Amino acid sequence: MKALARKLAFYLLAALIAITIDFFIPRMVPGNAVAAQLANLHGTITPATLKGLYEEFGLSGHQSAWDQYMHYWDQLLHGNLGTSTSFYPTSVSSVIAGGIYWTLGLVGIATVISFTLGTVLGIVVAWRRGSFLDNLLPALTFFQAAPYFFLAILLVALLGTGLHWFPVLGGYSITATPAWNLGYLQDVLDHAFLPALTIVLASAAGWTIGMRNVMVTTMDEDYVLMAQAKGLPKRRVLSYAARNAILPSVTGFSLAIGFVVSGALLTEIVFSYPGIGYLLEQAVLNHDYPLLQGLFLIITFAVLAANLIGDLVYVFLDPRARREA
Amino acid sequence: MTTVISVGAPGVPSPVTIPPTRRRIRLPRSAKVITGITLLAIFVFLAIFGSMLSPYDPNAIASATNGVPQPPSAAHLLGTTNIQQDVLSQLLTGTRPVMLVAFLAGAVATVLAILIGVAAGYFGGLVDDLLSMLINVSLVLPALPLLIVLTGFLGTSSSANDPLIALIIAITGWAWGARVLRVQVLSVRSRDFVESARLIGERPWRIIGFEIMPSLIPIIASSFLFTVIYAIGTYASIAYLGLINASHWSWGTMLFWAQNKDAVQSGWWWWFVPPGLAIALLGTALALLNFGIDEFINPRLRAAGLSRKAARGAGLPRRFRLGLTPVTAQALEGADLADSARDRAIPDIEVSR
Amino acid sequence: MTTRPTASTPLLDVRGLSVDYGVGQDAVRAVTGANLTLYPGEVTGLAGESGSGKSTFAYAITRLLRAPGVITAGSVRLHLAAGQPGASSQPDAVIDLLAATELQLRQIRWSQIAVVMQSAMNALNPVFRIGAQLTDVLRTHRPEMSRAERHERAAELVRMVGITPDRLRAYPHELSGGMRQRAMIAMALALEPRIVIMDEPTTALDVVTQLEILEELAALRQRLGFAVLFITHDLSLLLEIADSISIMYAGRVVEQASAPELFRAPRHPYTLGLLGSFPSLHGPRVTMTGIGGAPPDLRHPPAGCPFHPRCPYVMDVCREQTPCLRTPAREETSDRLVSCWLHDPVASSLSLPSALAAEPSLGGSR
Repeated sequence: MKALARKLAFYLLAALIAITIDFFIPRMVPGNAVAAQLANLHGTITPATLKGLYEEFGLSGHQSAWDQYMHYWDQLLHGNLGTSTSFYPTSVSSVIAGGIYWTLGLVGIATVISFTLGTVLGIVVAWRRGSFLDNLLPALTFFQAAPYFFLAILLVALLGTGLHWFPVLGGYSITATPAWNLGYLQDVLDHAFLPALTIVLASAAGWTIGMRNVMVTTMDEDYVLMAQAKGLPKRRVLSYAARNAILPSVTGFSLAIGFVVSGALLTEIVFSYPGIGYLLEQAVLNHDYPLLQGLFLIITFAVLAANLIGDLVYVFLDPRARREA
Repeated sequence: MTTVISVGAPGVPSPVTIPPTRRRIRLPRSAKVITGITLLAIFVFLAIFGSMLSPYDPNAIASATNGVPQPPSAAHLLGTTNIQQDVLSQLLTGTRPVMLVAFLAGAVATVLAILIGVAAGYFGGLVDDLLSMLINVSLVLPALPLLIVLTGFLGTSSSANDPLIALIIAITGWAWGARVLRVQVLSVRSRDFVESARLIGERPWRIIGFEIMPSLIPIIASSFLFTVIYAIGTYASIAYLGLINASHWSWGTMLFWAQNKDAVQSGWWWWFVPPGLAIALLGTALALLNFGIDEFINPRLRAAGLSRKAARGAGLPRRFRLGLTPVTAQALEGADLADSARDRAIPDIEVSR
Repeated sequence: MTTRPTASTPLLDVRGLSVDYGVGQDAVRAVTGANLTLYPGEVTGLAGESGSGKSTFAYAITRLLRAPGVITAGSVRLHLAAGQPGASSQPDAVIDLLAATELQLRQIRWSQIAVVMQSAMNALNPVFRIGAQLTDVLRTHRPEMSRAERHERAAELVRMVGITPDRLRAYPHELSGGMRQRAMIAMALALEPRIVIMDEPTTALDVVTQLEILEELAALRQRLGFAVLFITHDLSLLLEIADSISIMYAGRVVEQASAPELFRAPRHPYTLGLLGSFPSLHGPRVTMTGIGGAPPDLRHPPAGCPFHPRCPYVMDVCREQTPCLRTPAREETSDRLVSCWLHDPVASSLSLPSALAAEPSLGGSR
């Protein structure tokens, strides 16, 4: 229990730090963030709008840095992430809400598939050590080293524009109308295929190699030899090993989630998939700081949550971790 | 991008016991490692001599341009960009910044990892608690958004400053190595030879330097390589996103321009495939090297003592099966000959019962 | 001599076993031409220094040796009583474990031969409960047992070794070192095997626990009647508990005799050295003599007898030729074996050094 409390405290602290860094984003831009915003708005700025903008950033001149910080927290706790300038006058929260489901769907499903595939493949390659499967390893190394966006580009070139098997742009066809019917769902899946494939290819390789290495080491343990000595069937011996090997794998999953998310975002950008990644690119190109702030926060929280879940799963799986006096 | 560092899934090696004595380092002779080193050597060569070897100035625009990139030809081995710049030259020139930034970032990150990780592992107590917190927070905060923010901070004017970019990449990438090193130092610290050094009254820095360091070296090497791979990909990514001054040539920048001009949709493969492939190949070379180091750290990962050729030669099954120690054909034949134990024609035995 | 009837069939008969690590030029010969015979209900000790090949030998017998171990010669004959798993319908079947199929090995393992490994912490699966690790053997080898029966049997087994059944739900890391070792023994006896191989089972324990476990072992043997192959470097321990002892050096068996004979009348100079290496609790104070030198590097073994560089009685022939394991020249009728030129009728016409010519005392009691 105490260990659990410590973990929660750690995550709260990390969240705190993330929020603070987030606070500094517009303040880190050389020059005046508000002025930059003004440049983007190109239109008549009423004094009211100007005042509003200043308050958005808490930059009304007479406030101290600490007051601004508190003001920021106040806004956050009310769920107010500000107003996007590139999608003016939509609020940041609505903009993000529009994109987050796409990302959750794509990245969530792709990551689960990739982790499962990688783990199973890793176990198989390790178990059948010395067979031709070992030749897979250099190929996997290549996929692991290739950056996400390059794989994305390759897939676009080969399967998209090259063979025209899959569409390469967006989450759904321009002509389609979003609705809960089979036609629309099929369209969505069609568009999601290549981005998902990219994420799976890029990350599964890593899981496979990692899992294989852990399995090979675990198979050398005395208790696996004991399982053989006991005359247990092959499947049971495998489970003696795999059940232990999966523990470092889960830890690795937690830690690597940050990287997977980064890669997934890049993939979305290549495919102009209407998710968080796309919004991120827009925010960067258009200097839309409120949106950038909001996105950073959401992404960070998502990664922290995934980490926390990973930690909890680990404790569930490893009896040694459960007892923490 | 995930990593191939030693045991434990992406980036989580488990502490491995390494004997304290200084062993002669015997370089693994596996094909993987040799390929890796060769590839790496090629890239290093290109980094040094790339710009001298490029047939054209990467920025040079040919006299006549119709806005359409030209496919590879005798004059332009890798074709041209949309404004008739030579792709090959850009590729060659772009090698140096990539290698520079990547290795510099790797070096800085590794130094940071050593300082923080070893200190946390060795001193324990409050120091460890604080530093561990620092390490874990750095690990958990996602790198790319943080990078975007930090490079945004730079502004495009100074973003052509490679060392500065390397520094920023290092700041987001050191935590991995620190965590691994801390775990290893923790496991080595409790070993007898370190305890005895402490009891004698050796100074901490001497203990760390002479007793603990030797077992850390393979891990440091592996961590360094991993960070370099990370840096290569990250540098390319932020260049691709346009966060870096787009007139400073690197592979990522080439991809940025290619994407900008819709090279993919238009099928101008010679523009985007070479830089991407270069990134992937360099990363692969380093990853293969890492494999070799992994096998050195963890002997269990090496081919289990019997290469397939040798096994076949001795008449043994190719694949070693756990719990089924192989028996050579000679042994089995020899056993069949004997009727009972008494008649065995084995010179060592003469049992006169 | 022990009171073993001369016509009794051995349980396990190992002849001329040779084990290499690796193949081809880089192969290292870890065990050469080793013999061992186990008789029902007896404790056979296998003693030797680290690197003498005793563990390699024991694991090779059951084909559990890890890569890159390869068995290059010999036979391992297990005598199966009628009706035992792995035997065909004929009574008194003999199976050579080296030629056995995977299926046969799986049937024989644990039901005929069980293994207790050195480190219980490493040999127990850390993520499974103790009870589960006991019952999975039952589920595999006794499929007719119901779940309740299996649980009952597991409880019975741990009670037998002095652990309360409620500990079945514990994980290995929740038990003390002694309890873990006891759990291992309980596990080994689950199917009432006829042979239990114990690899340094008490080395990692303190002497008090060591004694407790050995006493329990003796009681269990009394009750279930299994044979034990007890591997250790502690010769003094074997002298207490073993019926017969085999001494290994540099991968060869150099002497084999009943325990009292070995203690009172060693024949091999190495055995003599070992006996002189630990003090006796009784009797006059004696200056301890160790054995000078170090065990040979198996990659470059010395020519002739592997012990000759350290032997105080070395002769010329020892440096050139390897002796055979045979009955000593002056004791044709005894059961013991020794591999030393001093006891070869042809090579040694000199009289034996007195230390190696002691008379074994008559009578079998220890």
